[in-house]
Amino acid sequence: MYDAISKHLFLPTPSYGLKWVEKLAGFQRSQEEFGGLWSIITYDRYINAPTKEQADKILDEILTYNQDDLIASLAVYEWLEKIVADPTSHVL
Amino acid sequence: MNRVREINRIIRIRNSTTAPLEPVGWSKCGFCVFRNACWDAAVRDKDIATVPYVDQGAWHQLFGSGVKNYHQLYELSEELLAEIKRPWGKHRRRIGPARARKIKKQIQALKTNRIIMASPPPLPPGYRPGTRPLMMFDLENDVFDPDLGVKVYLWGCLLVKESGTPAAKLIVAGPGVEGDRQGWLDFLAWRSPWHRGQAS
Repeated sequence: MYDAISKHLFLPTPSYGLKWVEKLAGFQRSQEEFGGLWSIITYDRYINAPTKEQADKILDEILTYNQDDLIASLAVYEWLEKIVADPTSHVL
Repeated sequence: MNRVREINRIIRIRNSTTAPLEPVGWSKCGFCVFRNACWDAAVRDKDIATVPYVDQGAWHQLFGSGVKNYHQLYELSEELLAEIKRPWGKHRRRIGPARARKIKKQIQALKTNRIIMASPPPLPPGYRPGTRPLMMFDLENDVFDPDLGVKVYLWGCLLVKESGTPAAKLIVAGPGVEGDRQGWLDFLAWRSPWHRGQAS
């Protein structure tokens, strides 16, 4: 998808990464904090959590982040389908 | 000598009362803890570094010539922009007409807040509108901690069928080499509802 977008479209964003393109596709995340760095730090907190209760809570955040990434990818794909089907609706 | 030069550079940065003059970049800033602060400022200022296709060398050359935001950059003609030479390894190289054209188009998209289509984006071979099922994957690796023994720590797979709610499989690796191995095996072992349906 990245190639299909970056080689064929110019987007009004400073990056063509998922976190920017998903906004154009109208996707909204369910967690305020997310991102690659956040995810790595949170995974480290999960591995080193002192109690199972804390570990489970952190795990839930990581899984939500991963699920959001997947649904965002789907949103971008469906957005791309609409552009291909009707270019005039979204593009100059 | 390189180490001494680098130490001197760090000392200069530490003693300075202003931020060092450096372009932001996605790869460069990717895992920096100050990324948000620098990027927010760059986006707010419409810094030319926030224009995809403006590389670090071009940024230095243009910024040094007083072209600091993308409105100013857009004022340059495509032909002039193509002829500008910027640092490229040990040499200097023209931005060139292809990249200059992309930079101008990119700024046009940013200025108008509209998408510009260079050519229709291709979808997968055999694609027909609304083709389903399809699968989305999202894997994340830990680049910081080779001692942890975990390479990919997050596996995600989403199955989207013709109808109904998409089915997701999410796996987080446990610690160590064994966690890494088990996570991968669990991911491979996932038999989605679609697969089960196919088998029955």
